[in-house]
Amino acid sequence: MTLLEVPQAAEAPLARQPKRYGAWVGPALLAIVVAGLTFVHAFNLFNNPSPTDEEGTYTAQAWALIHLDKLAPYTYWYDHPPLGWMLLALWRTITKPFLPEGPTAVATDREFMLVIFAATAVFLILLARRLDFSWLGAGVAVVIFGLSPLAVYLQRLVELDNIAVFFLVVSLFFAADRRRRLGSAVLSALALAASVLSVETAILYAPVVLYLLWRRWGRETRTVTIATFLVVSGSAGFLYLLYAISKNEFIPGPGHVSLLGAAYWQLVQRVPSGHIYVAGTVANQLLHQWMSFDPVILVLIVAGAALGWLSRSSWPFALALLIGVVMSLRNGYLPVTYPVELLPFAGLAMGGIADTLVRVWRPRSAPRATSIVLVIVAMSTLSVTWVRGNVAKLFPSIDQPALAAEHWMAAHGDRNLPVLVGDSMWVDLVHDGWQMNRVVWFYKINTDPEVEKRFPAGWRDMGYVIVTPGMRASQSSIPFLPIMIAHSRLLASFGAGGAAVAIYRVHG
Amino acid sequence: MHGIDYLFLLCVVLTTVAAVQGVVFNSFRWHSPGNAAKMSWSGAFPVDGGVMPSMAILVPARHEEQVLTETLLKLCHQDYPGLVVVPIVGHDDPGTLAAAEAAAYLYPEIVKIVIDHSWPKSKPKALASALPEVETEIVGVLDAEDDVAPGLCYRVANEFLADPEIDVVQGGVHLVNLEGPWFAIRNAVEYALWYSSRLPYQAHLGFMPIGGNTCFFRRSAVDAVGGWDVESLAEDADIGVRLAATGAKVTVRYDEALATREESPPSTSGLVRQRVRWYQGFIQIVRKREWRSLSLKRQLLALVTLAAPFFQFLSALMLPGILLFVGLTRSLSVDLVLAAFVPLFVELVALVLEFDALARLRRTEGGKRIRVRDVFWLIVSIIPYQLVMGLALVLAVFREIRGNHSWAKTEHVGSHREHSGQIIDLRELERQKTSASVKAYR
Repeated sequence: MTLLEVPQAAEAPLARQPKRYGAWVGPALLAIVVAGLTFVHAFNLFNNPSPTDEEGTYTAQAWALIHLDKLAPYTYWYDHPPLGWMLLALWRTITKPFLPEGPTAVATDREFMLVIFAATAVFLILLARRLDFSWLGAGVAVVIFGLSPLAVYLQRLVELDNIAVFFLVVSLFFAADRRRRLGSAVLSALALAASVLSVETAILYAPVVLYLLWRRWGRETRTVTIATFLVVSGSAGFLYLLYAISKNEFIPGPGHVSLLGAAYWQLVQRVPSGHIYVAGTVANQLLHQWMSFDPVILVLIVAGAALGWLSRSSWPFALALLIGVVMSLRNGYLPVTYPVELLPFAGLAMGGIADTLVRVWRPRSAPRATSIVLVIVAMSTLSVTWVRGNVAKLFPSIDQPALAAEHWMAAHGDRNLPVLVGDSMWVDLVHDGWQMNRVVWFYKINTDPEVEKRFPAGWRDMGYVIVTPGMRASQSSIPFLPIMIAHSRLLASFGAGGAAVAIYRVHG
Repeated sequence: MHGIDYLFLLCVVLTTVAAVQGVVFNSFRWHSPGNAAKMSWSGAFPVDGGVMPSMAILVPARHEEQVLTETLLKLCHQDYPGLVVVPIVGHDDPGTLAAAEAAAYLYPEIVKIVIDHSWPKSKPKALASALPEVETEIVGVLDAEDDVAPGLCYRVANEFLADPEIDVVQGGVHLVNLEGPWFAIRNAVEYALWYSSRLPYQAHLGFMPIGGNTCFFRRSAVDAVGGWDVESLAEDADIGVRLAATGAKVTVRYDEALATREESPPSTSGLVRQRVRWYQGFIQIVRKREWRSLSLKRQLLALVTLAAPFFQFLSALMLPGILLFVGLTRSLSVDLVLAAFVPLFVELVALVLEFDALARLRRTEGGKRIRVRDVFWLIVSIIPYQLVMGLALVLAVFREIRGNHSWAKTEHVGSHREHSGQIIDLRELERQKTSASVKAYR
């Protein structure tokens, strides 16, 4: 070394851009956009869509946390990590005194999903801005994230994926810290862990966060930052395994549930949904169900996976979409909420492309603003289409036979008789006066040892059965249903055809 | 929850807080890019037209004949204009005196030996006896075995020139005998994190303890607080507290390649003696109550520093205690079991920082990569090291209660140097002298 070694000059502090005149216009417009999106999500969310059994599951599990101090009203069997409904329970506990109650417990819990949506939208915009998107690009991102009728439908549902997406976006937000603080990486790691602890499949998108982190942090602090990130997120995620281990429920064994057993079921044993592109498979039916809400967003998801690579700011999101699209092509289990995790990435990828278009594309023969006008016109057209879709499909109250059935039970049901129900009715019937031990999720009657002990004769011990569309769709898990109905008397029926909900008195 | 559960939870929370505090302080270098550059030394060249301030370097030495001569010669090779190198030797220590005289023979115009007649001997007394003998604007302190980076004096002077408000410049120190005793690697990593992150962070927050060497004071600031406290066992931290009380500005400079190289104690008992001295010194400072005149924030920082051995000891006891309790009792609720692991996870982050510090040390010391054996020793030594620290703390408390304030010195054998333990041939020294002056003019 020489005596004349000059220390490296300190990196110039990243100066904030000087406030331009009218700098408030962008934020103000986007605040209006978020408010508008939140309104679309909020409008009549109690009464449309009608509560699904999955929503009922998480509502009941949050209820169990509040009232029973347990992770589920039944034996918790590691179907999903519990952070999502823990937060839901926390939200319910805090807001119960001052927020309006919906017609059903599930509907009430949708208030939480509304807040989650708004928060995700805000963080999405902040993330886009941290990635140097223009306000226009950020606007494109948030509209694509939250305005499609499919998005509105899925994001209204009390689904863990929505909570996971929120944490995923927060994680990316911190990973995009301009000042590259170690603390941001730690927060990003914690948010990623929270996302995975809400829905385990969020781990698919961990590489996206890592990639963004890698790209953002320079060589100087990268090693320590990424190592810290991995240790923190790994440790926080490990708490879930630790929970199972400390309850002696990690490894499968006789007479108890286990995390590995549940994972094995999810990954291997669960009946796959078939190939999404083969007509007649469950996955293909799901695709058609999504398309009935909005085909455009599905096109945008695939387009983002393919075209996102054109704009460097979209790379991480193109990667995420690619992961999502490729995974959906396998013959695996495909949940109805599958697109939820891809929505923010589709928004960010398309926002990035729009941004690049506006900044880079300067046609010679046209005025400079051509590209801006083009993007705005395209987005306006899309927005109008989507708003009309929402008004048609998600604004009107829909016929809710299940709600009518609940009302009938509240009015006429014998509180001493056990009831076999779909998950979505569980909390409502318990609120209506049934003992919680006497309201049984239909598939628990032959899967949960605790329930089997309580009702040794199985379905013959039931007093009522309320047959819902969800139940009819899950016939494979309750093969006894036809015999049960044959041994029952119809008391009341609501709705028609496939949507019908029927109440039977069981005579075992 | 029962009473024992609350106690358990309290232990978990305290351990977590201590661990998080440690990680936050020890990671300052990586808090954001540019932090490393901010704590980097200024150039090792005379500023154009600037008058370099006069400088003296005090080198207290006791029974250091094995290492002192080379240390002094290296300081003389700094070629700083008007530098005074002041070895301070006890009147009862002819061996060390001879070693100092060897250097004085070669550089009579630089080396100025001070004989310390005080009894019993201690480092602060040596410093105090030498202070009246020097009249320079800047006074530095180095230990007898320290290898100082070439050109450091210029860098120090430039720091003082660049900011007239600065009263103290603290340079980094590395322990480099990584192949030494079992604790050498852990000890070295502790030092590296201390100088590269912890001290700069505390300086950034407003209070830092000053290290025992490679620290350079503006003479006026030392005089303003009345010099070193001769009764103190941790004179460096003590003067740091008193300087902070006067509002002195302290800054830390750290570059891996420019850190002062020294050795960790040669044996476990040496390590214990060193820590007993420090810890007892810390207890003395707390009892002296001078820190109470600091602002509230600085008091807190001072407490965090001075009480660090206690916190470290408590969490070293509690962390295994917590896990043992979890393992032995089956009655704990699952939430508490999960909570018990949180401090452990934080310690994993601490380990990441330690790996990185070790990798940097290896790279600086001979451009080697971190080895599996290093990692092994770093992890294996955690618990025994904490036990030694705990033992030292107990002994320190015991000594303080008994009123025993004698100075237990750390011995040095020069294991961080190539020719350890040899008194250097004078002809070899002459040759070094000529080659060094040639180098300086290149």
